Order: sequence, then C-alpha cells, then structure tokens
Amino acid sequence: MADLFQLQSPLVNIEMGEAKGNAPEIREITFLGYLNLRGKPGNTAFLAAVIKVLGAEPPIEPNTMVESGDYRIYWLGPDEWLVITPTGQQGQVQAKLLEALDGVFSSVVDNSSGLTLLEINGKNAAALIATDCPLDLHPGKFKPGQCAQTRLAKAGMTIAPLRNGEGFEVIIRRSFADYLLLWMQDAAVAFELA
Amino acid sequence: MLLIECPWCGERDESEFSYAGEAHITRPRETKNLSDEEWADYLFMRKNPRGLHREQWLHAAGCRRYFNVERDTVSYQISGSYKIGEQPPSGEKV
Repeated sequence: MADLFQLQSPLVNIEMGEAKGNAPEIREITFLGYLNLRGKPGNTAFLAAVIKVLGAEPPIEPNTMVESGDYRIYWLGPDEWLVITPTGQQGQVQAKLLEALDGVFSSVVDNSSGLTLLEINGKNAAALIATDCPLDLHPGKFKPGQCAQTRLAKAGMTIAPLRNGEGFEVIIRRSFADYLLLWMQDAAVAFELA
Repeated sequence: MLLIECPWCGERDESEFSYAGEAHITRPRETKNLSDEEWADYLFMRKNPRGLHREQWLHAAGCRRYFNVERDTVSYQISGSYKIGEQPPSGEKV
C-alpha cells in the first residue's frame, strides 16, 4: 500500500536555478523525517527513554540543538522538541520512541508530511534572511549548535546556523514552501549584482 | 516596536508575540454559586491602569508559551518578564 504513494517535493513547480553573483545558494533537503516530541524534562523516565532510542538527551537549554548519529534534536519549548531523522526512518523511530515511552507522560507525533527544510548557503545568507526576519543573525549572537523559532517573511520557521558558519537551515511548513522560495528568489536579486 | 523578553527565548521582536490581556485573573471556584455581578466582574472588568500593568503575552512565533510582562502603560517601558505562577520583578504582591 505504502509504495502507492509517491513522495513529491512542494517545490516541484518552481525552477530552483543557480545562484547568481553574490546571491546565496538555496536548496531544498527533501523528505526528511520530522517528529514532534513532548515530555517533562524533569522526568528521568522520559529522559532515559529518549536517550535509549536517540542516543542523546533532548537539549534542556532553550534554543539549542544536539546531533546524535543520524538524528538531530531541536529545542522548541520547555517540554517540546523536534527530532529530524533520515528519509524514511521516521515511522521506525516513532515506533521505538512510543515503545520506550510506554506509560510515561509524553507524546510523539509524526510531522514529516507537514515540514520541509531549505539550506541557504553563501556569504550573504544572513543578509538575505534578514531582509524580513526579526531575529539577530549575527554570528556572534547566533552560532552553530543554536536554533530559534521566529518568522521569515511573516511565515513561521525554525532556523539554525550551519556548521560551515556561513549558511542556515530553515525548517518551514510545506504549505508555505513555494511562497517562501519565491519570496527568497525575489529578495536574492538584490545580491546578484552587489 | 517593543523588544519583549521571553523567559525562555530571551529578547525578541514584538512581531513574534501576541497579547493575551491582563495577568493574574483567577477563575473563581464554585462558579455556580456566583452572582451575575461577580461572574461579570471576572469575565469583563479589567483594571486598565495608567502606569505599571501586568499583562500576559504569548510567544506565538517562538516557543508558544504564555508568560507575564510588567509594562508601564504610559512610557511602554517593560520592567521585566516572569513565568506564569511567579511574582513580578517589582516585588509588589499580586
């Protein structure tokens, strides 16, 4: 049954194109697994179950993320995290988490079909996003290992700096992906000639 | 634009937040024993002070948590944020 469904990027109808001039490169990382994990960070049974499945404790420090093997865990709230898994593994990871968290006050929800991820890479990446984003993206203030939820051109996003220090990954709702990509391509024109 | 400090996320732009009315309004217990006047007082009557005001904000585009802010309604100066259930930074009991 499952193979009847073909995964399709929300951006199939938009020409991605090459980055021109000094405009940053924009690309979509498609079909990752996204799980919304909730639980009490003070509950040791909850933490132990998450460590058992994901190999790392969910970050307690606000607006930080941890990487553990193939998984990435982003802080979304004092009792809420986003777990990103490789393509196709979300069902399996969700099942393992639910099994490990059996009887523990928690929730694990598969959000994979609702979100997608864009990588914006290049020396003007921060300037492009700052065209319409209220967050301070200065590398001294927003470093790799941190993440934040804010707005990009009025749409909600989760943003994290890339390890290379001059790019960002932006997790957005799939239904906003075409709007945001068209907005970014429009904003990027300013950097093509600069 | 206000710069509002979320107790979890730190200082963020006002556009990330939504306002949620006066803080420290407790829903009365035993609502069936209330008079219409007491019930209307809980539902509708607000202090609307000139000066220091304690109000609720929701970090809607961020961590999606409610918290309290103490703000001067004349100067818009925010003297601090605190979590629900805590006492305001001015030390005045509420």
